[in-house]
Amino acid sequence: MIEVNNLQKIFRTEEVETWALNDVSFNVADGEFVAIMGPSGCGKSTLLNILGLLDNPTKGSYKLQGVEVADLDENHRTDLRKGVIGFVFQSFNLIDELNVRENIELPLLYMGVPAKERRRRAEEVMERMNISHREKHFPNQLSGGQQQRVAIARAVIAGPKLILADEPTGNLDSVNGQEVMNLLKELNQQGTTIVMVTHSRHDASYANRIINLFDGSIVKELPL
Amino acid sequence: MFLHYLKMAFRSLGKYRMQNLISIVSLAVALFCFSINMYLSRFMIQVDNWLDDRVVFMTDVNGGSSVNFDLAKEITAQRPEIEALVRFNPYVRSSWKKADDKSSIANTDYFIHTDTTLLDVLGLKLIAGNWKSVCNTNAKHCLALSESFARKQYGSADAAVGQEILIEELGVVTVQAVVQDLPFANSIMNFEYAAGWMFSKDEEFLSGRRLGYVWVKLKEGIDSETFCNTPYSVWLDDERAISSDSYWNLKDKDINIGGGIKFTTRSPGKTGKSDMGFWKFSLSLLLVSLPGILILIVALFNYFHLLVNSILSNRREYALRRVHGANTADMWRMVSTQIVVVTILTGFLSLFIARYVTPMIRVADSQGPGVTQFFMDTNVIIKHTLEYIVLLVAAGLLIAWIAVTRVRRADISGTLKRSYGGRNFMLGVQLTVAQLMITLLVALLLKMRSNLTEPYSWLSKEDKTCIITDRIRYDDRSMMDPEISYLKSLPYITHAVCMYNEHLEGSTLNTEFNTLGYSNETDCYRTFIDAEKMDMLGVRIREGRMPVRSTEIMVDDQFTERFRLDIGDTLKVRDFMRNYPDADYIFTGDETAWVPLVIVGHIDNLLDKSILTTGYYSSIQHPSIYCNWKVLSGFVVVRCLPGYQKEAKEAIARYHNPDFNEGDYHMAMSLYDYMDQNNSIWHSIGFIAWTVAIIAFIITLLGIYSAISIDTTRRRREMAVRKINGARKRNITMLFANLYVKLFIISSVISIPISAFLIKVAILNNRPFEKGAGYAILFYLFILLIMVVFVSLTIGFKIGRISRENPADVVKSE
Repeated sequence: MIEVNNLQKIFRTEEVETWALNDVSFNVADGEFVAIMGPSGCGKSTLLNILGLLDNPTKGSYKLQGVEVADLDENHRTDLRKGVIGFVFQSFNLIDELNVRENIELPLLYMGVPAKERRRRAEEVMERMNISHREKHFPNQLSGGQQQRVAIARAVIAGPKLILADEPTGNLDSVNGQEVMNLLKELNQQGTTIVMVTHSRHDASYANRIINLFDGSIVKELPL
Repeated sequence: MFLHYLKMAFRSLGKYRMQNLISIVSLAVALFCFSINMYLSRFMIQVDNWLDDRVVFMTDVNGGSSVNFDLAKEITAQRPEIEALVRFNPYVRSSWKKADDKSSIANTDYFIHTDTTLLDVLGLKLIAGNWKSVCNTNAKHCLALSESFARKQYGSADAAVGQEILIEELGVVTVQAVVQDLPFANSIMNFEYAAGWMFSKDEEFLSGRRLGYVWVKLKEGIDSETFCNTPYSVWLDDERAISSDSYWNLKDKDINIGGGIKFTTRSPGKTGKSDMGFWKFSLSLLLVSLPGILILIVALFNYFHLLVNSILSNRREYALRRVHGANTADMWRMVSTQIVVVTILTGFLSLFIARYVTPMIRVADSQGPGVTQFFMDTNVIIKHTLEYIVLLVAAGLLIAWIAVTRVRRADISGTLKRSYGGRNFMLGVQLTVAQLMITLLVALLLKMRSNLTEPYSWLSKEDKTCIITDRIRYDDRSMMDPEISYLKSLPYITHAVCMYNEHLEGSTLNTEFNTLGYSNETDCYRTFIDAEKMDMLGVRIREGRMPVRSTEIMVDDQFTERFRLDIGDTLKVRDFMRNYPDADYIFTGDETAWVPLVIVGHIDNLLDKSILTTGYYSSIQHPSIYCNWKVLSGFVVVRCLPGYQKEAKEAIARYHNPDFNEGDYHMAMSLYDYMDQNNSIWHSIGFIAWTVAIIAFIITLLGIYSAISIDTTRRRREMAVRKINGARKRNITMLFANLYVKLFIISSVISIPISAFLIKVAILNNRPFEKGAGYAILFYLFILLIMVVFVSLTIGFKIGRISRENPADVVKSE
């Protein structure tokens, strides 16, 4: 699914040059669940952004499903993302002006799926995530756990092959966090590849493999 | 997808409900006022463009539009370049009714007496009927209707031909033809709409008045510019002067009628710099709509500020949409939909205002030249408003594109994590513009008030309001003198005089002593005054004496201040088109000699006692000189003892109507009421202007309110964090107060000099003899104070609300 070779990401300003990633190389097979761990500022989120085609590496190779994507422009990256990659963020990042169903349908909207089909698929996913009863509510009316379930529903509705999760339980209590991790595990068992950034050893234990980053480089890979 | 965008647009409107409402309402009002103003501008640009190049307008040498018809005919006969002329007398007034059912025809001010050369000279088309029958009829009078009027009255142009109209004093007149409407953009009739054209035998033409508008058509090959650059002079001999039924009752055989004649081309600025009708109309529209231009600027700032804020504060959402597959075009479509929705709502409201307010403006101007009853076409205003709405949409889309493009360039992941602070720059600009506009607006309105209604406000004082005027104007002293004698015999009447109260024609004054940088020749007005009038008005001779000879004059303080002239100094004046006591000095062109006038006295300023100016705005722009001539005609004005106004009015009314009933004062009114009536159009305009100005002011303040609301709302999280760390409401209030103080200082530093300059140059004191409204530093401080108080209250209110929230909840939700 993912092949990364000698990936570098350097942030340059007038005064300083920051090496966020330094010759990172690893692979992720289809259906794997990989956790990326490391201290703050080690480059985890940068790596996740590059994997999610939200950013370009400074140097190196990144192949997604065998296609080299490292040097693509914004429009191409956007097109590639659609329907292939789903995102789950720590702070949920739901749109306040959209209700639950509309937030979930968002990826399908930009894929040009007709409204009837969008609705059908949203209902299916809401049922699966156990949030159908909140269909018409807005994010500010939901609890943290419910919001994250909506975010996960949004991430999976397009049937992506890859889900990238950036500290998905960071803002949740242990019960809700557990629930979210169970959902992710379930998705993984159904064949979705998951790459998750986390600080939590407990959350990392759900993964097949842990990649440890330190100062932009991989220091250890641990199978579980 | 479009439904989604539409849904987002309305939800976004709901998010900032109050601010969006303010934005929409203010833009709608501003758009309408702007439409009115642009309507005038477009009209002025089009004036007379439809006329053939060979057709030029005849004026006196000072550009006055009224020309003596006998002189016009004479010069037409003398000049070989002229092919034909057409004359108009727009002042025929009588009752017009349909002959069959006696129903009243529209206001008769719109029927114009003219020559049968009408179509040939002006190039108007014949729509129905037979023009030969108009020209050759044996009837004393015949009539042609304008096309739109014929359709309105009779259903069609053809149906109107042959119809009979009963005209009081003339009898039944048959409609012989229907002609094309005179284009509105014309200086032909001083903007009065011509509903119909009346043709009479030449000797019947204009009986009772020999002045009017004259257009001539030059022969082929004559260059109109060259022709118009040449001044001409013409005069009638004594015999014809005596026999002509002139405006001034000439009995003295030594007096000729003559004067200078000029021709003007049709270009704007030269054409029809006529009497007050045109300028009164344009000024009235300008005063109504200028506040609208100012609030349009503020309203646009409100709108675009809100738009940009909305886009920039939604960056996180836009980044999220990009994450899920939205590209720049998707973002722009979403924002554009929002803009179009706002603009459509604005447009509907603006069109609604145009539909219902435009007729109110017509009603307000009903005392004026009557032009706006036809001219201010609601449908045209609506059409223009639609055009500006389209422009507004285009401008909004462009701004949206720029903003979305900028947002698109931002790093997605960083955007998702960040929250955004306020945009002080835009708020600062908005405050600056608001201050500038409000200051200009108030200055404009103060000036209007001081120049138009204050000059005669002294008349309302009890001891001076005992001045009554007889509204009937006499052209013959033999009729006036008996009335004056009668009134003087009454015990409660202290003074009865004839006040020369007609158009004060301009003369050209050569000062020779001009040391103040004015041109050596300047227009002036002559006011006729004698000892009795001065006593009645309470005007004193400060120095010197009353003039005795016709070549002696008095001047007032304002005159001496401007020209620094003293008793014993000599001025030179030359008159035009008017008989002069000394026959040798009839103006016949640029070669005419100047009449020397000696200053023999100074009097109090009569500018404040402007009963003699009868409210004509332009007359206060020129110096006045005071002469002691025998007044030929005018109004009877009396002064009565305090408390005897009612008896004085009754005495005057009963003199004219022996069957006078108590309460019937229509023929007599106090001078203050008379001035008020003459200024009624200005009162109406003033009411509209002040109403629009108040709306403008409210909108400006509301715009500031919405901007501050957005700013404080956006910084909720910051305020919550500060509270968590120990800040109190007072500390947070000071934080904002400091910011706004800085913004106010910067906006004042920028706006005060600009507005002071503009006010000084363009509004308050731009003409030498106009009464200045005056301004002082307090004026600006007052404006600033209002805004400071308002902003303080708004900040206090907003922060008060936010400070009552639990900061932890705010941080969590934000």
